[in-house]
Amino acid sequence: MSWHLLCHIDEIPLDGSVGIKLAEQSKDYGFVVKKYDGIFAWRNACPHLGYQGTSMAWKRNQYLNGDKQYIMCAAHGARFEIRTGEGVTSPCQGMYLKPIALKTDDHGNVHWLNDQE
Amino acid sequence: MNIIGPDGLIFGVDNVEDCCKYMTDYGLTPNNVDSSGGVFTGVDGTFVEIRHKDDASLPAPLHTGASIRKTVYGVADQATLDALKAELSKDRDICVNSDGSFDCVDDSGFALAFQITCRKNTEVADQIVNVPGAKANRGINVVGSIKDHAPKPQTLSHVVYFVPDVAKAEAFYRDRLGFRVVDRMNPLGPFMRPQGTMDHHTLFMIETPPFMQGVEHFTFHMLNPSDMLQAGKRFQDLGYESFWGPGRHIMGSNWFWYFNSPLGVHVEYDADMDLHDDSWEARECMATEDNSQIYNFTLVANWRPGGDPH
Ligand code: FES
Ligand SMILES: [Fe+2]
Repeated sequence: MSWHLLCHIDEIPLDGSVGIKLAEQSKDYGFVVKKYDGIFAWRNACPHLGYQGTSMAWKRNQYLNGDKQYIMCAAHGARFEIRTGEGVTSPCQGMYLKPIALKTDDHGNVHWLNDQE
Repeated sequence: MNIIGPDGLIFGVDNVEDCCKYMTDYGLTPNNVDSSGGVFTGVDGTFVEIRHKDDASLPAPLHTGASIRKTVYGVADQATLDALKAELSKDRDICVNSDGSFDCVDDSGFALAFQITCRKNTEVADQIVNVPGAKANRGINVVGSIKDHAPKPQTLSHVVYFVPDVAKAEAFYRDRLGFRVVDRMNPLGPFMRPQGTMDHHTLFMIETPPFMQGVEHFTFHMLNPSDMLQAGKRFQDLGYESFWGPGRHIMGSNWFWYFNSPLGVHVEYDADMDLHDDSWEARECMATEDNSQIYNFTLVANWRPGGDPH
């Protein structure tokens, strides 16, 4: 378990998302979403039955639907609540994304916890 | 029934601009694009249409809210269209449009339309690769690799549905529309082709619980495997997210490369699919990793060995 620097909080666009990369991996490990009331981080692993673990981005750093109110899995379109990770539409209704712990230091740098190491 | 294959797919989305950009970057030609959406065509005129999900011109969505709103089939001639109209109006509502096409719903709930095909004949040179010992080769002094080539998707190849009852879905396409089962991948479902094409499949169906009904993917045929690889490399370099491939399937032999998309379905490039006629006996296999492809690669950055030796 160790903390990793992601970026400065101002580098995450409001109502936007940024991928969390692990060196040497082609797919993002996770992603953060910034809303007016905070930033939220989730593993980049869709819970869709039969497709568990699928990358959810449709383009580099792009994880949200059109009005930026939901996380959207770009494999089959499931929507998830940004703050709770709960799946709210087909094919992932009632399933949850896995959270990633975040902390922001005194300089505004955002760090994420890799609990898989 | 002389159905040729899917002429077009119509989607209702909440991110019209992202989807329009995506289909253009995929290589389709944008037509009449504005804030309400647009129509994106392959070389032969087959298309993907993007509209807002609340657009009044769209049929009702599936109960799952999936983004697919209509599959438009192209048929060879008026006689086929009339025969389909007679057949399908036996047990369902059909709605005839001013251009003579008609709309209905299949036995799984997918909205369909049938029209005289919009496919234009395309002039393509035979694709020839240099084969040791072969008589027909590409030609002397004809180079194969062209650096900035942006390959064009030629024609809408196939769509793959998630269906709640695959036996019922197969029966509709087989018994009512005359599709053939070419092969089966168990326990997922059948690869099917209509009578107007020899392509291994224009429709594949995967059985899922009812709450997952929707579209797994669609794809256009590229001219050849090299174009498929070059298109996918270009697409990934634009930032789009690869899902699977590039690789080569076994059932159908098509080369494939699947990407995530803002439409909420996978979008594939494919090339070099097998052709079959009615003498073919359907094969069956289980959906294992080793039956799903011969090989599967992951694109890495361009590279060269060593450095400058000077
Ligand atoms: S893999 Fe995410 S919706 Fe299917
Ligand atoms: Fe496919």
